[in-house]
Amino acid sequence: MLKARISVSQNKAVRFGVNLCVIGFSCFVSVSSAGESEENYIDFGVGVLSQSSAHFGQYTGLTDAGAYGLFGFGYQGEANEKGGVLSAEGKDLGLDSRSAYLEYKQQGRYKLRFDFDSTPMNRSGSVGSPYIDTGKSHLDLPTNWVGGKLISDLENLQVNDQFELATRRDKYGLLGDLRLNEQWLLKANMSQERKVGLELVAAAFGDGAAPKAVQLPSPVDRKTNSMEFGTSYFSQAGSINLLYTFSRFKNNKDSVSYDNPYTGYRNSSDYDKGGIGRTALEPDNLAHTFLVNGMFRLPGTSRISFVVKQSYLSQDDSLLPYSANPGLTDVSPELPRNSADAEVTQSYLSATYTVRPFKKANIRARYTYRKRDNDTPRDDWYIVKNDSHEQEPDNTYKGAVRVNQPFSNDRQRFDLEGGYRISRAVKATLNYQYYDHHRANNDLAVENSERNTVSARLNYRKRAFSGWLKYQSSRRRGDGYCDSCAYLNSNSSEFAPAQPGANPDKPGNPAYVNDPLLRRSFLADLDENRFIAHGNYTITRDIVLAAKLTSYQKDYVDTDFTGLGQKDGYGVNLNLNYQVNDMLSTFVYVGYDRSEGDQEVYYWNYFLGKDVGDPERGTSDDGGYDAKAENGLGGLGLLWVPENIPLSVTLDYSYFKSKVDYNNFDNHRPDGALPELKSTNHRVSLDADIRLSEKLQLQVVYVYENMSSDDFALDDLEIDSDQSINPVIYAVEEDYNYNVHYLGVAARYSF
Amino acid sequence: MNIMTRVLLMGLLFSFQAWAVEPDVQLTLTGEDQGTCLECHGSGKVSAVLNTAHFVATDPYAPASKSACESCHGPSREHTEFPREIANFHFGQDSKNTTEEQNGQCLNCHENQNRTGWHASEHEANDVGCASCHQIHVSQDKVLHESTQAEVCYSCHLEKKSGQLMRSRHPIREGKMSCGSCHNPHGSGGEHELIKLTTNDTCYECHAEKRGPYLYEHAPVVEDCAICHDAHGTPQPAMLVERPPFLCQECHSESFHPAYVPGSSDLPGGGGDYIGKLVSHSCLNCHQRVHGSNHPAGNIFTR
Repeated sequence: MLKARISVSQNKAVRFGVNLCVIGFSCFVSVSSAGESEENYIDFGVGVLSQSSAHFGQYTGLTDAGAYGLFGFGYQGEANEKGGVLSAEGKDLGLDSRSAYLEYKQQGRYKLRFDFDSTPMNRSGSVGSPYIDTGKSHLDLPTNWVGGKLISDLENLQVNDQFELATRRDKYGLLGDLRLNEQWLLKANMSQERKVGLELVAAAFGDGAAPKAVQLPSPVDRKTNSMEFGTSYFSQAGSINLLYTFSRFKNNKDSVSYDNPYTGYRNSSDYDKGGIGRTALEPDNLAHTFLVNGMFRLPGTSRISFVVKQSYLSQDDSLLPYSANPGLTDVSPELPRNSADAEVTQSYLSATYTVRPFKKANIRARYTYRKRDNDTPRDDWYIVKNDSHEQEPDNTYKGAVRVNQPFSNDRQRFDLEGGYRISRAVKATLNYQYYDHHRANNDLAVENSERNTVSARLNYRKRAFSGWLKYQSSRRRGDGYCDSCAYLNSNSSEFAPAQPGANPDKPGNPAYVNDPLLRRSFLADLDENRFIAHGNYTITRDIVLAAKLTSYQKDYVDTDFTGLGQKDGYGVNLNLNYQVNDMLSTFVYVGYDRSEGDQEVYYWNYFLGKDVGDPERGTSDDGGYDAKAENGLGGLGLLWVPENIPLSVTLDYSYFKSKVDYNNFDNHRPDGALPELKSTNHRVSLDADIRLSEKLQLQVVYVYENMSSDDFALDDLEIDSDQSINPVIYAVEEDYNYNVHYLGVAARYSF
Repeated sequence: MNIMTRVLLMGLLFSFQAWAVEPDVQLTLTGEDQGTCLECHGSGKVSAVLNTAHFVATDPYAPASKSACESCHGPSREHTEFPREIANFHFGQDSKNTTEEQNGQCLNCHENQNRTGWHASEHEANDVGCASCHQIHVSQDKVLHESTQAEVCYSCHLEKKSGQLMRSRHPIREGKMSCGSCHNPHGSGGEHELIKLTTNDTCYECHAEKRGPYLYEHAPVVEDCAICHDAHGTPQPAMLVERPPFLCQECHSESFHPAYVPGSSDLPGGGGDYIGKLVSHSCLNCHQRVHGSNHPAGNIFTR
């Protein structure tokens, strides 16, 4: 719930000390006037929800219609003679989004704090699955299951189990810091995070030409243990911080396996193996990080700061076999190695120098270097396609053998900025940035891109108005493609030369040129311009207006080659705060943004061995789409603290609408445009705090929210909707439509 | 006398009472033992600072143990003698002191630990003052609390507010996270002032299962999570900047099924061949391990 954005300096209507996060919404921390002494309290109450919706209660746990207990507490002890204070707080203790902390500190000397936080993530309410063992590591189909090639052949396809698609994250933390003296500070932080629940996993069978899939629930049981130890030193000359961080991720589920619902494939009986499939879940991993950062004051107005960070990531989980399917008889059990033996070293270095050569001017120069070194060994892996096809004995067969590609890269960035204060009110700044990115794939293909960016900014601040204008232009170009390297570098070195279309007069095989089309969106040559304007205007002492305008244009160069087109967008936002009088303050805001982009695709076949530029290779008008997206929002609210009545009222209304329109064209398939994606949200919240007596307060919260959504990916979808030749058995998730009323009443007893 | 005046007078009286019972709080002028700032500035709006960390008398590093109000507002002796003619140091948009001067006052004590990068930060370069975000003379500074911090950030970063109203977002609205969960507004030395310097390392703080390294990696994943995701909120699922298949086709636009553009016939009941490439999770209906796979046969992220 977006509460009043009213600065305290303007907020004459001051709420008295109610701080109830009773419904897990953003709490309005009390801004009580000096003198409040009642900092110990117990909250108790009840909330009622009118309609079940996982999306309404996505992060609060308010998902099921009915009643909820609302509990909380706060304790702030008296400081002893040395200033030591014990404090504690618990919020939303009756909900899945509960949190609490216990802290003892002597400000300026030490602090010890224990934290607990629980955050639900509710993706969907009731989801149906044909499997019967939801939550287990192997999912069975019912004993009367009849397999088949198409959905229409699956005679007993029905929902056999319902489950909630949700996870819950519980985090425990212990934090301590100790100030030894004016120069030295020590700190330590330990935390454990546990995540449990269910997620959707998709299982594919068959091959890329005739795939079939099923969505199924996968158990989630993960833990992350982290520790951090650091020390800081500060003096008049500067300061330096040292930090070591250890993080270990552990997944108590290494895989999920499932019965194969299909028993036949479109293209080949070679894939008709039935049996079971198995997917590897996220492996355990370790990270060690060492960080040093600091700042030094140099003579005059100069300062230099730096960060050096070195991380070691490793992952050594035992690998699953190539396939768990007993229906495959020729699967070699020989893995080239028993674990990924994955190791990555990450380095980060940044140094920034700032100086004011004279009073009105400032200069900032920064150099940043990042490197990712992936030392994971490479091996030939004899692929079993989706637990469906026997391994090929001959590694000249397409896709029979793949080599894992450990990605490495290094990046450099240099920034130079100069600012000049033209007058007390006006400051101008110019900035140049150079960015260089090398990507390495074990030296089989090296891709390099550079980006140059210039920007200019004008700041203005005088009396009631402050604002700035910024214009930025950047240009990214890439080169260094390896023109003799195999397409899909993960093919084995024996495969590419054996393919038809190889040109003996040209080094390598042009059919497998590392095609510029593979210059993906984050690599492609790009010209980009951005403009931003922002202003804050204090119209009167009680009225403040803020406005922001943004626009951007992205132009991918060589559209005919890459298919990437243009992306343009703009946005405008306005925010008005009005302090009507001592009792009433209000706000209103509106915003709108729009973006458009286009993309083309190609249908030509690599394996014809056609060179780039060959007309038979394909054209740029094979297909594509235009996408237009619009978002609009608005809201208003007020905070009312009436005279002579121990009452404060907050009212908040927000409105949001988004629309995405895909206009597709495809010269090979005469299909029409897709339906619009639309979401509209109305939300009203009313929060009333009533002081019944010196020790007793009552809070009443009412929320109404209506969400209506059209999403072609979810609307009208059923478990057996996919009657295509490449079917998917869907676990249909809840749509985003709800119309919910919530009423919460809680009392606070202070002592 | 209306209720607000009574509250203010009570606050003033209480503040004097607080001062009276805490003689260790030295509110005298530099080098002088005279009347205090509160004689004129004793309203609740100002004296609320007495209940904050700045005025914990037992903290040897707090202004309460040093020069009290003058620690921030500078030597004020002349101001007490000629209060209307001579102003002492003032903070805020309407101050005659420049942003650099105002910030310098705060940095005298606070340029350490998480703020060593302030001089090199984007906020500093863009003339943002400490007083633009922080409120000192209140009992609870909004920007220091997770549940109200975003409100302060939105006052300049207005365009980020809409993200919290979108279908797919982080739990900032519920107070479970704040802008400071990912960003260090005082300057981190990293990209976008992220707390862990890089986008991926910051995301891994909560999403360690994505860290890998995996046997089979997906290039954009290890390079930058922001290639596919916008952590501020989007109308697409999973905070994606675009939904599959269109997102995937920004890279995978070559032959065979990656390149097919689905149309209305690929909706349920439409009779098309590629419904699975459009509805539910689209490409991820098969290629679900899109962040990487540790399966020996997971080269195309289906296992």
